[in-house]
Amino acid sequence: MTTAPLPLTVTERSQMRVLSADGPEAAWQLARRHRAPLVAGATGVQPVWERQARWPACVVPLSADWPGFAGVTVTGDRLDIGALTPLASLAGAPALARRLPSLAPFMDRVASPGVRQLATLGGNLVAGGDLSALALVLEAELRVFSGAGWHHLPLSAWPGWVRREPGALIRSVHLSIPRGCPVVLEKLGHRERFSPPRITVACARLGSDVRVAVSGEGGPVRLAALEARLARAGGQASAADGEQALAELDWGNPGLRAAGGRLIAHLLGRLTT
Amino acid sequence: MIPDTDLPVQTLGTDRQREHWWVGPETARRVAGRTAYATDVPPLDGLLHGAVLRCGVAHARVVSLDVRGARAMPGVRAVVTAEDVPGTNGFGIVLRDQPVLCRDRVRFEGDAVAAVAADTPEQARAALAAIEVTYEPLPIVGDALSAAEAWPLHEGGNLLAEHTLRRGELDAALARCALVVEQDYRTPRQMHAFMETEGGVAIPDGRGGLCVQVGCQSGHRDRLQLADILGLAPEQVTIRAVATGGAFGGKDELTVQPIAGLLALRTGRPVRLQLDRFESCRSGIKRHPVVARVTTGCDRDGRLLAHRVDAVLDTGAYASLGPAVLENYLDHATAPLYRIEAYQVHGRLLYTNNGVAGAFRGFGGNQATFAVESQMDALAARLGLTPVEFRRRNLRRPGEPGSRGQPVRWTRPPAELLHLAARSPLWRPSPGEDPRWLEGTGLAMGGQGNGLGDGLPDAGGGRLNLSPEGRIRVEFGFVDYGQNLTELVIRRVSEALPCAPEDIDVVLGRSDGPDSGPTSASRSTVVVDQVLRAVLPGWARRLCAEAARRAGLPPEALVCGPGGIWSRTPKRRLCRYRELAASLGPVPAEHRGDFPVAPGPTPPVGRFLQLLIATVARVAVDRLSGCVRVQALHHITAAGRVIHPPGYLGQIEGAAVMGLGMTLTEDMPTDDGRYRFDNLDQYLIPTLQDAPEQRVDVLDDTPADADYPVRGVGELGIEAVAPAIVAAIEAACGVRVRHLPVDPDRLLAALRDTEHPV
Amino acid sequence: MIPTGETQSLSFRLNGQPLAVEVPPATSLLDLLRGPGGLTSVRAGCRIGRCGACTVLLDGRSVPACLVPAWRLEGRRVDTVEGLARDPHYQAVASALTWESALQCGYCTPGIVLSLVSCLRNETEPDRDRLAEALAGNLCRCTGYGGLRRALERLAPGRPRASHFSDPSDPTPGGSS
Ligand SMILES: Cc1cc2nc3c(=O)[nH]c(=O)nc-3n(C[C@H](O)[C@H](O)[C@H](O)COP(=O)(O)OP(=O)(O)OC[C@H]3O[C@@H](n4cnc5c(N)ncnc54)[C@H](O)[C@@H]3O)c2cc1C
Ligand code: FES
Ligand code: FES
Repeated sequence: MTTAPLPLTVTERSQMRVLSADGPEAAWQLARRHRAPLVAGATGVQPVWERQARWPACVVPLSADWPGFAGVTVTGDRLDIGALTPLASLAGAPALARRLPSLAPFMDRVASPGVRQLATLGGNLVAGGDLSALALVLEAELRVFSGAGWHHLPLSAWPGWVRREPGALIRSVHLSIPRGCPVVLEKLGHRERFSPPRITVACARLGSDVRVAVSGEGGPVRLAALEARLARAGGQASAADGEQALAELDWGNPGLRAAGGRLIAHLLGRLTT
Repeated sequence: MIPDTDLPVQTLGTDRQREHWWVGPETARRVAGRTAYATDVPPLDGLLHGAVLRCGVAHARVVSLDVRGARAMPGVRAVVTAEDVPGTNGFGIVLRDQPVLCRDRVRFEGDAVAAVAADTPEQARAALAAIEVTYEPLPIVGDALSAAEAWPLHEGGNLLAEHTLRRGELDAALARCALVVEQDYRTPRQMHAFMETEGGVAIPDGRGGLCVQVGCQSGHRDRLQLADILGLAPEQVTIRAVATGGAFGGKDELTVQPIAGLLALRTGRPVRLQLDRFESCRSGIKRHPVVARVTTGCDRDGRLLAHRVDAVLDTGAYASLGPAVLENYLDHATAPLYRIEAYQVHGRLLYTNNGVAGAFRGFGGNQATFAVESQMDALAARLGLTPVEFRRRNLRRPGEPGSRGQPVRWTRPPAELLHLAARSPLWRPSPGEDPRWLEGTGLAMGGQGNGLGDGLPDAGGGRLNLSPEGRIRVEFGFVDYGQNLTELVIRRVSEALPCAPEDIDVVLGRSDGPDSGPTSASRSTVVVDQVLRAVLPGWARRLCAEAARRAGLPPEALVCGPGGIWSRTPKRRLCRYRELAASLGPVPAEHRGDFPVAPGPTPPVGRFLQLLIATVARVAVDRLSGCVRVQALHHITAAGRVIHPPGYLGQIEGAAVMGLGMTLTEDMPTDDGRYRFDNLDQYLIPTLQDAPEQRVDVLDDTPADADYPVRGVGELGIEAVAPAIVAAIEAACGVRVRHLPVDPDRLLAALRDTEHPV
Repeated sequence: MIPTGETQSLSFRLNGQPLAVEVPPATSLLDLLRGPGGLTSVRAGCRIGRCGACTVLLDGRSVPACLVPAWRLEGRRVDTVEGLARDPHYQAVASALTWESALQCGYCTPGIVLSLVSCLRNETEPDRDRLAEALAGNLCRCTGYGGLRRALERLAPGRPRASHFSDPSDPTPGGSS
């Protein structure tokens, strides 16, 4: 058995080195060479390091100034969103608000206004955060750089989720939201605002196709089996169907699955009305 | 029926009430961020930074401890262990059973084994990492219910205290009950979660003594404990309680003082020590979790006959204020608002390895009230009576003795609060219902006494003086950790003397000032009032006499006023306070008195000065998730005169939301004796959106010259919130919750059972 | 000194004044402001972004300073309550909070002030609901947020808020008592 080399760590923030790169390719190389994490908004990683009182010896910050890394552009039905776009800008982007009216109220429940200024879309997806359920139902594709050069990768195949291993460097996220495609989403937390996610459900309808995805305590996942059943049942499912879909994936704990099932059925109902 | 037009009620904070609204200068200072806190880094030459090595294991023998490596680290000025404690290596307000630094045994994960002072915080932390300790694990006592039979944590076993309060013949009374309900109740290990963590600085005085500037609740008591620990005479220790970012009981016990003091004496230099949030969560005290079985019975007409409580309180590894919390729990568990023929209220306080529990707003009382009020609802439901009617038949009346046979002084009859609660607008069904949300309203009542109670020594004093600059200096030993005490004192003095708020300097929390007793048990408002009523009139007369002498006028023609002494007619200022100070010098006046207890020859039992609250809660339960949203809380209080309306309102609202947190999200569970959570991303307190709309109606017409015109309301608001919320949940969805915090998963499961009965 | 990786020279504007410091690049803005910045209104409550006591304005928008590493600060603008005395939004917020006594210990208050200033600056005519959303990341343990709610009414006047206490037949907010 080969053991992966231990990440190099230090015990104080002040001992951490920052390796700057002038472009994404160089950043990826630096990160690999020094076994250093890439950081975007750093809101996901710093609390973890602070709690462990262990910091990586080096980090490689990503830059929103690199071409294509920040901002929302629209071409027809296609949306290209830079991975370093702060969550706060997503809630405020007119292009998104038009296509996804459910996004702005949802964003009020993601982290806090201050954290949303710093946290990025890419970091949220990598962490399997609240936006990953939405990105999954919209079949997001990532533009990434890795040892294999620049390429596209479906979000559902993101290696960090699948094998818990360091993934590639994400430049941008691509979604297509056809006009008239309704999307509903809701987050269930422990409290009304500023709660760690318990379960977030997103549902979308494209023609006769209904898609459902969840994220939260059990991780981000598209509910393919449920979608197949929905295709047979005209887009409707009961709370029990939703609960069973989560149970088949061994997602979360039974109590949360019960709530999840009900939330899924409720959102599917809203999707058709 | 009580006609409510006759009841003297006012809603605090509404426009109608605004003429009495008053906000003092300290509030503006705090808004502008100009108040200095205990954990600000003081600009002191040679300041060192302390850090504490905590064991991180729930229960173990310390096999070896080697600090030689740490002593040799760069920047390190001192490393101390149990060997270096010059006096008593133990603290605790009731029993000094908590080591400052553990020698051979650790009993909870936050136990300290060594501490370091270094030039920088980084160096101090690095030195901690270089200390070598080996532990030999001991069996973990993780469950209070079985702790008495488990491995003893202290000499004498794990049963720290056991008490029973009795009245009448319980068994006989139970036998006569037409209806008996028996239920188990659980309340959580709540954390204070003050926004400023424990911290301060210890400064050597160059003469072998030291001064500690710290966030705390009782300078005088801390000083005695600290002197014992440091092997100093009490006069060598001075405590300065600086503005503190919240306490709620969590800074009542010593926190950083002993170790900071030790390091300062060792190095001869000022040492700053602050726990970060992780360390605060792991080592700070919590609320006592309580498990109780409660059996209550009544006759066919709903008259309470019998009431039995068997409670176990988990005090964790050390006593702290546990024995006093047990006493207050039992007092409240007797159901003091209700006439009950016989009760037997039994409680046990057990040591475990589950952290340390101690003082927390409500002090055991609200845990008991949760169970008592829930029992009232259960009996009412079984009898087919409304919660209001059932309570109406059993509430005590003024003039009757308290539940422990003691004289009690309420300011209004409990039935009036019930009446107003029954008329709350929150009972109206809300229009436009969303089928997703099930709404319901519930109520609960609560009572509370002021003072340490049960005849414990409970004295308090204060002092008044005129400074050379002509400032009216008012001194108390209390600490203002956010309860607006400064504003209350300014308000009270400026009205009674009278003078301008700007003429007054309030000096609080110095152990070399007057001893007012601890800032706890809702006692400060009462002591302040007592002292000021005793000294202000005579003091004003002294100033007027001097001014009269200077002006050649009769003293009766003069009064105190803004900026100085005024003639009554024509209204004109004759001289400034500064001029009086120049001619009179200091004008000291001091008063010290015992906290009011019941008059009479017998030693006092329980508490005399009583306060009342009724809380009505309106909630919505999410049928999809079992989550509960508290939409509104309506409180009716009877607690004497309102001196400082924003302070009174803020205390009730703040305590209520703290109670809401305990009801819905807050708990610090332990796994094998270790806390599961260690910061505010895991331990979740209410945000603005979790906090309901609230209204506080004060029922009072106490005249200003009554014997005891005021009460302290710092804890009143938490008393009845939890039972009111669970009553509202039951009204909304038919499920009664008896384990707090409410678990949405379990509530949802119960809801589902009601939807599809099997 | 503990050997640190390296330090970085950094300049940014603090409360309108240029500030140049030489610090380890991962230093948090919170430590920077309380240390070299000499400010005490920016306070630590959790150091992981969860309490809001350290809130500052970064380029005019509220952020938790504990999560902003120095390496992101070059050339940026940082404001705290100490530098806002003449800002009209600050004055409105401070007087509403003071008058409503929307605080007790006050430890959380500067952070709350800055979150509200950020909202008033950056959103067009925010109503009370938007102002309340702006405070989702600011925990206050003392007040139960009652005074804050009243202060928000003052900052965003308009129709009285739908209240659980108001009687449909009674036009006064809060209803009759
Ligand atoms: C107080 C607080 C509240 C929070 N609340 C929520 C919440 O409600 N919901 C929620 O979902 N999350 C929440 N989070 C978690 C987290 O902050 C967010 O998910 C955030 O979006 C992460 O983005 P970031 O840019 O800060 O990521 P970072 O911390 O910079 O990075 C996170 C991870 O993603 C990787 N990464 C980041 N960007 C890229 C990229 N472009 N390419 C490749 N890898 C990348 C990093 O290497 C790292 O492993 C919260 C965090 C905090 C501190
Ligand atoms: S200290 Fe920054 S948010 Fe708590
Ligand atoms: S006023 Fe104390 S935390 Fe807000």
